[in-house]
Amino acid sequence: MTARGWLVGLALAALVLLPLFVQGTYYRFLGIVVFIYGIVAVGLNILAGYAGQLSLGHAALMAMGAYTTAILTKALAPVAFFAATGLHIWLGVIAGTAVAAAFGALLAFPALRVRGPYLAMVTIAFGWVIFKVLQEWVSVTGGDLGLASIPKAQIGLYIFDTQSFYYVVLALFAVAFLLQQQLVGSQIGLAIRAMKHSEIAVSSVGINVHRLKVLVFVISAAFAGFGGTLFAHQQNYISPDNFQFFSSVFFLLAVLFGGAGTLLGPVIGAAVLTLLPEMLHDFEKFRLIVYGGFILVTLYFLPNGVMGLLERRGAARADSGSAARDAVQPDFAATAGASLELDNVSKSFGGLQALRDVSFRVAPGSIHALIGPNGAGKTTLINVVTGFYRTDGGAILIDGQAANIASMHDAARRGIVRTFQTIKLFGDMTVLEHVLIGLACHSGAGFRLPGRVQAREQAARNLAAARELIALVGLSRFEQTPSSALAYGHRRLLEIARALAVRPKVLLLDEPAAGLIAEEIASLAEIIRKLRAAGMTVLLIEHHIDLVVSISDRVTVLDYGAVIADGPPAAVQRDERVIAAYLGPFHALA
Amino acid sequence: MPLLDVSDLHIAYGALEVVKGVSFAVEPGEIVLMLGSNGAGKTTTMRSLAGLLAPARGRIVFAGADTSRSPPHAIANLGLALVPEGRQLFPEHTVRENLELGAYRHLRRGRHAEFARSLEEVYELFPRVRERLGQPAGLLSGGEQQMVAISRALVSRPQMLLIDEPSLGLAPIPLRSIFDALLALKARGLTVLIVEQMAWLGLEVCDRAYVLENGTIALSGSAAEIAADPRVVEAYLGPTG
Repeated sequence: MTARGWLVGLALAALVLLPLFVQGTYYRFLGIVVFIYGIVAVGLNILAGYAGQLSLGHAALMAMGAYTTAILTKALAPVAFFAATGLHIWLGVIAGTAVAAAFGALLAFPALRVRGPYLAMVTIAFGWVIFKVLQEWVSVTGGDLGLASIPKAQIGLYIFDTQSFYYVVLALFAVAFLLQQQLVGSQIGLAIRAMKHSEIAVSSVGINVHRLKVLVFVISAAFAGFGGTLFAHQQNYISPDNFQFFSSVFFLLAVLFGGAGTLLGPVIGAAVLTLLPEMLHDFEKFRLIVYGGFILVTLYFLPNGVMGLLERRGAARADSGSAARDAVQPDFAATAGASLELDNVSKSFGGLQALRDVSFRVAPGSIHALIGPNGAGKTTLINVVTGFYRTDGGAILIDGQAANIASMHDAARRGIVRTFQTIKLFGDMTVLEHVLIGLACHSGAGFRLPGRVQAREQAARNLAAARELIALVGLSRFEQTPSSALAYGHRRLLEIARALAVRPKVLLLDEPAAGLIAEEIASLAEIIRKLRAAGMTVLLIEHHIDLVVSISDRVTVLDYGAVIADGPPAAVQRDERVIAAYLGPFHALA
Repeated sequence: MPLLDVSDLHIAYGALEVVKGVSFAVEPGEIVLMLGSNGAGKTTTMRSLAGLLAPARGRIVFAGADTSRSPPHAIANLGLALVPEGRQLFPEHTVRENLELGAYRHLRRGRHAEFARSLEEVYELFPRVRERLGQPAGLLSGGEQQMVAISRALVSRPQMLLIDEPSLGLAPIPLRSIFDALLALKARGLTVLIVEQMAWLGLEVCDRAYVLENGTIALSGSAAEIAADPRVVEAYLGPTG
């Protein structure tokens, strides 16, 4: 068990024992409120902290849970069966959680189109609509007066009082915390954290970003709704005032204060922000000023929250001692290369024709270079082949079959995988994590929570495979380094390792040698040759002509969106048009 | 006296020390090349010279002033201009607006004639920049963007340029024009510190070079000496250099 594990255990033990030493219902009540708010904040942390999707509508999701269980349990309470078993409470908790989750899915749809502050605006609007509906739909919600005499939590004939409910909520809170931990550590968690940095790169490894976003909204909303149901049964009275805009701000503040994107952050935030006003009673009418001032000062000095400070202290580890492994020959036998054929492909943007009737064939298991001046349409071609753009006309054939590639993740699943000219990595995630995300998609284990034996075995296999790929591109000593701390050329190599993790049939490399020195380019050439030897098809866009000439089987040259030459490298190098448009008189030097 | 004098520079990201005691100097009118493999600390050094990263230890003296702890704008105002890795233009602004931002400290003081003169000098160097003045910088080709990035630094009328990897992503023909422009700047007497992975190109324009390895200077000398060093030939000029 880690030091942090012990700390969490100790804190939990303290919370269990606390009611034995502290007298008075008031403190237990406060504890329950902290746990409930903690559950909601944990849910919001998954969404805002890990997935990077701001929400200022979580109070409304909490209201969905609270009102659903309130209405349901009030209706069922008179039934003798429920009165004797208390089952209606737990039905209400489940129903409330489910209804909130459904609304979470609804809220995810605007998030597919808008980001950042715009998404925050949409969630604020959502919160207002719900708030107004609660106020105005008097026959169901009781309007401003709210719903009173909501049944207390009950099992069999035993009705929980504040003392015993404290333990129930504490246990549920612990479960919520563990769920967060499991989720974040799972393959889904990796993808969720990556989505925050680059949605395009996430889809490039075969993950459906739309589905992932809906999923994360549903999960987050379920936490909020669940917290709401517990709140209803604790308070026994709810009204729209409990779920105002300010409550949504409170939850986001708790996440930011404690440390967004950390496991303990939302818990610390919820506890401090709930308990602080209670401790400030002595300040009387200055209470809210002191409260606001405290938050302001803390966020100024701790921009990454309380946990941000603690983690910075702990982040001393850098290059783990993992020795460079050499002579790696990853097993690519499973990925026989496919042929890729473009048949009269065109694409234009407004008046600009980026690709005009481009046709050429990349033979399976070959290294095929695509060269041409800056702006000739090379990257557009990759974007079209990987489904980032739709073609205006023409066909793309994989292994002779016309492929209607709908999106980047669709392309990746068919084995068409790319790297990016403008590097797209996942910020502070480590080198190892980048490659694990790539493996998630095809290993099929992807979206299963860990814990089961097969899942654990799969995880071990993935880890071994990821390490092999990292060694292949020569980044072993950076396994634990965040990608943001890598040198430019190393970022390019990491993109290649991530793409290889998807087990491509056709690998599209967009300027892999940019920023590398001669020695590094020589090892890159070695890697690409190994891939060909293993049967993979490689389409290479590159300006290092010597590299192109030395490793390519065939070269296609684009200029102004059209193919001006296609043939073996030596022939292309002598082509007058290619010299005029691209190589220049200068090529003899290269 | 050197224009730029760096002594015992140490730079760390958190606990990870990337630059470990680097000392070098650049005399006025010199073009100095810095070579090094990925992760050697070149870009990190450049960023700290421009004030974007505070060194953990050591001294940076530019034009007689200690700039080790100076903020980036103060260093730029002293006349040290950075052409960053990956160009970093303002893509939605026109080329002209990009250049006006480069000359911000002059235009703010109403020195419009000076800006006009700087523009003429830039056009002489890069006629393409004049043709593209009204276009958003983000729509330019890679070579043109690099020209604008260098022009943006030049219109601030710097005493010295820091250029980080001008060759990145450039096709052979624009690559040639960028390095021809550097030769022209050298003839005008501008002082330049350049990081360039295409070593043969860098060695063609520079007077002297330093080779950085694992955060320390492993080798230094004149362009000819460095180009003849067997280790440099192997690692930087090699068969695919």
